[in-house]
Amino acid sequence: MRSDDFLKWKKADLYIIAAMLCFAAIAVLLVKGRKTGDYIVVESTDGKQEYMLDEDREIIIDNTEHGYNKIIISDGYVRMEEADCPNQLCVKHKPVKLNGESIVCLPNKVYVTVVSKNKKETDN
Amino acid sequence: MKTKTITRLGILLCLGLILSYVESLIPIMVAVPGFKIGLSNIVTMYVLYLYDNKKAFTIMVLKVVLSGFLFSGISAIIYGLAGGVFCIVVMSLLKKTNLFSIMTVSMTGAISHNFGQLVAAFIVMRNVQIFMYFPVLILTGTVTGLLIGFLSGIVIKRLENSSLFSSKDV
Repeated sequence: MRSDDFLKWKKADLYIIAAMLCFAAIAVLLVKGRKTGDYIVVESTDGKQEYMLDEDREIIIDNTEHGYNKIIISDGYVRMEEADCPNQLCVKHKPVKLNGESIVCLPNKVYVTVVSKNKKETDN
Repeated sequence: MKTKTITRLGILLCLGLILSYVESLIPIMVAVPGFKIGLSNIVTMYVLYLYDNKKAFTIMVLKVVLSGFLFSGISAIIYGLAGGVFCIVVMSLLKKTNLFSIMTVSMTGAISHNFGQLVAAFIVMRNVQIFMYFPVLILTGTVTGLLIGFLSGIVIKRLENSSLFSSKDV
């Protein structure tokens, strides 16, 4: 049986706990500190289109095959205003603006993704 | 394996299931999906420290499967197993080095358990966004893991030398 005292704190404990807390703190900062995106990419069966986030506008996707979606950009946020899909998940989704966030209307095959500028260069 | 050992492991498994049940009665106070105190892990720690890795692994698998069927459901079994495997592997490795206290072993176990669950959730849902929960789960895992580790340490110390539950003759 083990004779050493496993209840005593050791030096290595401190390192590993500190490492974990640092890792968590950095990860929290990375998640919270995500930048606001610059433009949105709207993908639908009509193709792929980009719209700047800083000007308010209304984007209507009215596609006979896959239904109707109305996307609104206002105050730097994007939201799905209307959709004729059965589950309405996209309409209930909170407005997004951070890089990488997205609103998806799966039944109508409409994907709205927020992107920031420096990603555009790598994106083809 | 001695009959005595088998009996004791059976009793420990039951104790683990009871603790799982007790935990399911405690209303979840934090709005973090996957947050658990992990009371039943006291049993896993006990087996890991007083028996061996293999037995701890077996107890963990049985505990997850049985408590899944009894209290929580199939999806809990999938997530629980994924988390449990990560947890036991990391804990046995750390314990083997003899460099760490039981609190830290338990803490890394809790964190890797959370990580395993996220990996399982990722495989099920195919959504990378799920890993956004990891930082929060590291923090909750650190707190609950250290606490459960400390409790396990006390329990192991008290029971190690009692004639009632001594495993000296395993």
